[in-house]
Amino acid sequence: MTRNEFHNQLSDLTARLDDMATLAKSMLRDGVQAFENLDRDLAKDVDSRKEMLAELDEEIEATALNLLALQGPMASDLRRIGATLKLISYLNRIGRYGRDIGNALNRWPEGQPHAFEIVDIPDMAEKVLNMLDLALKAFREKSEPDVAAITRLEDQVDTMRRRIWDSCLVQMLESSRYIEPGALYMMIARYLERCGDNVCKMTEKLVYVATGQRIIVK
Amino acid sequence: MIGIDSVTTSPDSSRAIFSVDRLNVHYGDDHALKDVTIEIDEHRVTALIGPSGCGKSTFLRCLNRMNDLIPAAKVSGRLEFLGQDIYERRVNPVILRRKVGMVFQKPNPFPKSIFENVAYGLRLEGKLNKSEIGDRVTKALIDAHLLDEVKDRLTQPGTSLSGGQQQRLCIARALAVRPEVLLMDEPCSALDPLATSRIEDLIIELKKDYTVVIVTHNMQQAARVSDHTAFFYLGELIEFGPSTDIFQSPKVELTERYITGRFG
Repeated sequence: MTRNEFHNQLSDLTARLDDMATLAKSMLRDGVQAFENLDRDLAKDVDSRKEMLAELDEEIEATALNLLALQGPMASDLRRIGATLKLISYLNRIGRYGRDIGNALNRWPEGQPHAFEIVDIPDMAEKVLNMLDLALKAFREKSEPDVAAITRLEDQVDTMRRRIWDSCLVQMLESSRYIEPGALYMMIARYLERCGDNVCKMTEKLVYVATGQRIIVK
Repeated sequence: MIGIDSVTTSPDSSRAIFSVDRLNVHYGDDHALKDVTIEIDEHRVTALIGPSGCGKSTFLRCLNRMNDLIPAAKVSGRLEFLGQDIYERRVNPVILRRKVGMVFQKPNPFPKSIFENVAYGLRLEGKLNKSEIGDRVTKALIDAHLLDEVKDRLTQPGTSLSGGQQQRLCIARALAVRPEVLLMDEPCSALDPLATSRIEDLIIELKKDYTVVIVTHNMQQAARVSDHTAFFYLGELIEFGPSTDIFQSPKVELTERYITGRFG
């Protein structure tokens, strides 16, 4: 009664999700880098990756639905496929936040340098990427994610978002020329915070895949 | 290896219709059931799953002493039906089997008319008049979702029906004597998908009035129709619990490996 072909297909599904995660991660990393370095070419490149992200989303969803319809998965296989359907939505969102961060340059005047220090934005992005790595490691290794480490990083991301908002507000109150760039920095900080939230939702699903237990990551 | 300690003996608070305590069955030297302890709730569908030879049919047949018919079978332990140990000397297995009816893998209608197939057990009782028998046959055929299809040909042979209809006729025959429990040993394995889905619908309907215990190799079927599932392996009860838990998040690794098709 062993189901080798089904389990091979399930491994392929995991590999494709890994591909999508790699793409989403690259979009976030490069989107932030494009904004940080005011690199419009890189931002365009990130923008062009959105089609591939959407294609992977649809392909993985179709494969997962086929497996559900044709293979009657049970137990951890069922949880894995069910979680995959959610994970692709979170990864899609993270990739598109990366694209949106790069595309923020469309509203940045050509040749104008950063208005003030944005050191927290790359740091914040780095922490979100670390969170994503921890979550994806668990998915690849079929193990329980390190919830404590992810939560700790999420707390740091939230703190940084608040710090960016506060410092932007101070600058914007000081001079009206900081209003537009300050608003963009605040928006990007908000996008990164939302990426962190998406990784937390992914973590909840990954705990369910590994243990069958439902938790809430705050 | 097997984690027998983690077996849940009764998955919820409904009244147990069967209480089984350290049940063992030997067929000669073969130890077919090993210390099985379980409670089966009334008005629930309980599915027994596991690979061939794991003891699930042996366990099912213990519930109405069908194993008495196998000379080499030796049963020990305690098996209570509604508080009565059914292996006590004074228990009449024929009366027990009226309370705990059985439907087999292959439909086995008697070489009699459709009506007489259902009336057979009632005539054995010898207590009912013709009109009462007619009423009971009609009720059983309604309960088995068969009356509409056979009401104009009740005098025709039961064997003239399709496989799915024959199986529902056998269910009607079992229901006619007003059992408390219906045991089903792979009741759909010889049926096509349409007939199978009708039997599955019927099983879900039947639990309003009866307790159903079903052996099935089809795990999708177990997941669809049962409230509770028991997984057997090598004669041991490995895990027992609500079917949603067993099929989504089994607690025992062996159950997980079996239902995901990683062994068997």
